[in-house]
Amino acid sequence: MFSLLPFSFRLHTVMFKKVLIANRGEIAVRIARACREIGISPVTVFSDADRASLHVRVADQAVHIGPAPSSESYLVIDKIIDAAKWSGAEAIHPGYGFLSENPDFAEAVERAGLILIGPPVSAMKLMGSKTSARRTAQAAGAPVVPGTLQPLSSVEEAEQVAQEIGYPIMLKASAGGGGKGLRLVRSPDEIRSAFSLAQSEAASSFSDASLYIEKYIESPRHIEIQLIADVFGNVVYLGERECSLQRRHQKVLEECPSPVVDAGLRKRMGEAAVGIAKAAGYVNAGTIEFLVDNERNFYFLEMNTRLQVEHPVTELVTGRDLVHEQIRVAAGERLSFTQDEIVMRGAAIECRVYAEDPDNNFLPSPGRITKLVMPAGPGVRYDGGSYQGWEVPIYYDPLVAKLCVWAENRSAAIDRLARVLNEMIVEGISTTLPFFRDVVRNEDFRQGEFDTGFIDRFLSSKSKETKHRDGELETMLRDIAAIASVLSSQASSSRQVTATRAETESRWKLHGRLSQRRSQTR
Amino acid sequence: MKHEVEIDGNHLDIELGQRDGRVHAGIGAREYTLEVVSPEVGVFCLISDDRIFECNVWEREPNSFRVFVGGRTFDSTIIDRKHRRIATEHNTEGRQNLIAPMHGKVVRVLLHAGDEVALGQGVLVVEAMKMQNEIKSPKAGKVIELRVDEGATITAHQVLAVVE
Repeated sequence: MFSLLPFSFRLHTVMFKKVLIANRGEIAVRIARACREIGISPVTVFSDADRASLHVRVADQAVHIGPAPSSESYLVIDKIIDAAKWSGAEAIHPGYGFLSENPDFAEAVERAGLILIGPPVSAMKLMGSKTSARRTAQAAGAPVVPGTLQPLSSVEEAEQVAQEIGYPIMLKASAGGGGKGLRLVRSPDEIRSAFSLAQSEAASSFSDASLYIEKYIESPRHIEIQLIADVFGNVVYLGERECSLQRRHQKVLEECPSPVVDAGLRKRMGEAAVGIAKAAGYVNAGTIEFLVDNERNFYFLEMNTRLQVEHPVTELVTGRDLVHEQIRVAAGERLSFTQDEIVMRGAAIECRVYAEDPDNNFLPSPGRITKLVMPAGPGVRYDGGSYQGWEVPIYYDPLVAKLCVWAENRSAAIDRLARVLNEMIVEGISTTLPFFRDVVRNEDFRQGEFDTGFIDRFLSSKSKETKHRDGELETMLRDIAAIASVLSSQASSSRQVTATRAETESRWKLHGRLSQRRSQTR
Repeated sequence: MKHEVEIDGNHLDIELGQRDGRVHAGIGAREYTLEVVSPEVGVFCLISDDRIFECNVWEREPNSFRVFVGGRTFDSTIIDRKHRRIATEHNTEGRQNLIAPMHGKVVRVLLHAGDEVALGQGVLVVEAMKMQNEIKSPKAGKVIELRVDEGATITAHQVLAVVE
């Protein structure tokens, strides 16, 4: 006799017709694109602040879910479930952040008879709490960083534990991610203020104020393994991502592959990651984050039980679409590839372009985008959630766009990134673009020699350097910029009717000049 | 015509004139002859004999610009000589306003009017885009006024508190 069970199960995997995207910004746009590519109708949700946002414009339907603060809209479980039911969606994609790692949400989705494009509730609970995740990883035989395995009950306990482990320590939100609710504490006199700031940030970002402590490893690299698992127990890892370039413990630039990971280390880390995922009964795309020290020892840090912000670099290098695969796996299909079929080709880099002012200590810079020029050409991937004329709201993460490049190897990718960064123009708000343009010129970065402390050191050395930045080209560019400022002030103070004709005329002149140049250089 | 521009901490005197449809600029000993083309609003192509400089000019405030050219970003201010303001030395003598550095929300008020305050001590906590930042006192002294309550929505450059 043969079992009919797997066969009949296959018969019941019918792809969704409609998916609700419980998120906003660039990731909601990215998921909507994936839905369209596989014939699914995307439905999005929006708060008062997002009525005219891009993720609403790209959807087939969009549901209003309340006032601007995320605690009254994107984080309200009932409103998301109601929106899904009202629109007739069969499944919900949570993106990253917001409710994506909230087990109460996952349970509510299940209760409502809907499918979460995410892990089973049990795996989310196990790996979502960072303390039980550490226990799971330890049990699966993966090395972990010393620290508490249970959430802290009070600031007094935190002080005591920190004393035992020894400073410096990290205070982390149990439900955390994305650098929120995270504080580095170097000495006992900093712990009380750090504890209350981390706790209140954790409460407002994740509706869960619990914290735990970890020993802080000096100058580590932060390298993570992307994996995906189906309901049949197949787990495949898709190489690593180098995420060491961080500011305030928030990733700013990621690459695939890591310049320090060779085939041997990749296999060891990948297999450790797969072991942890299997121990957790994991299904869906997921990421295991590791710290890697100078001797290339790796330690389990945490698992992200959702799609990552930086997933595009993995997609560019492996040629696999993680969102398509996530949706198929959630519909009960088998993974469309095996471990042997995963081939890494070339190198990819992502820059997170934030609405932050790098010249003003990276303070948020919300406001209206008066001009947006997106880069193009070979090897460019642009994942944005904004458009020219859109106002970046004050209520949410200030990510404007993710700018990715791919090229045949790392150094070609950096050269391409330098070209692409100069093609992207944002006006009306300050962004981190000028900061990235400086980073790609940095020799240590080009050599792949950095750790998680790189950005802080880079920023402090840069402020000294710019004071006597005085090359011949630099002087000329500064002069030209000053002249352009004067011309611009004259143009804005006296916009003449006749200017239109003069401009048209000289545009032809420019065209003539440019084609002359082209024929000379050909 | 003479123009004065502050750019990236440098003071430049620019002599600007037009001849044969070209702009002639003299800055100290440096001379530029440029054809000027504005292919779209906010873009100025300054074309010399051997190079095109495409400048994206964003007017951030009247007479205050951010220029992107040749992969570099410059902040500039045109000094209006008729209405020139004497720049005051930044000091912490007397009353100091604590200014909101960004739009956001006051999530916590740490000190109240009348409280003693130390240099660098947090007076209130502001949240914008999910990050909390302490607004610190620029001097040791006393909080003499607190102009916002917890939960208040604030705009950039708003005065939040006064210390003396």
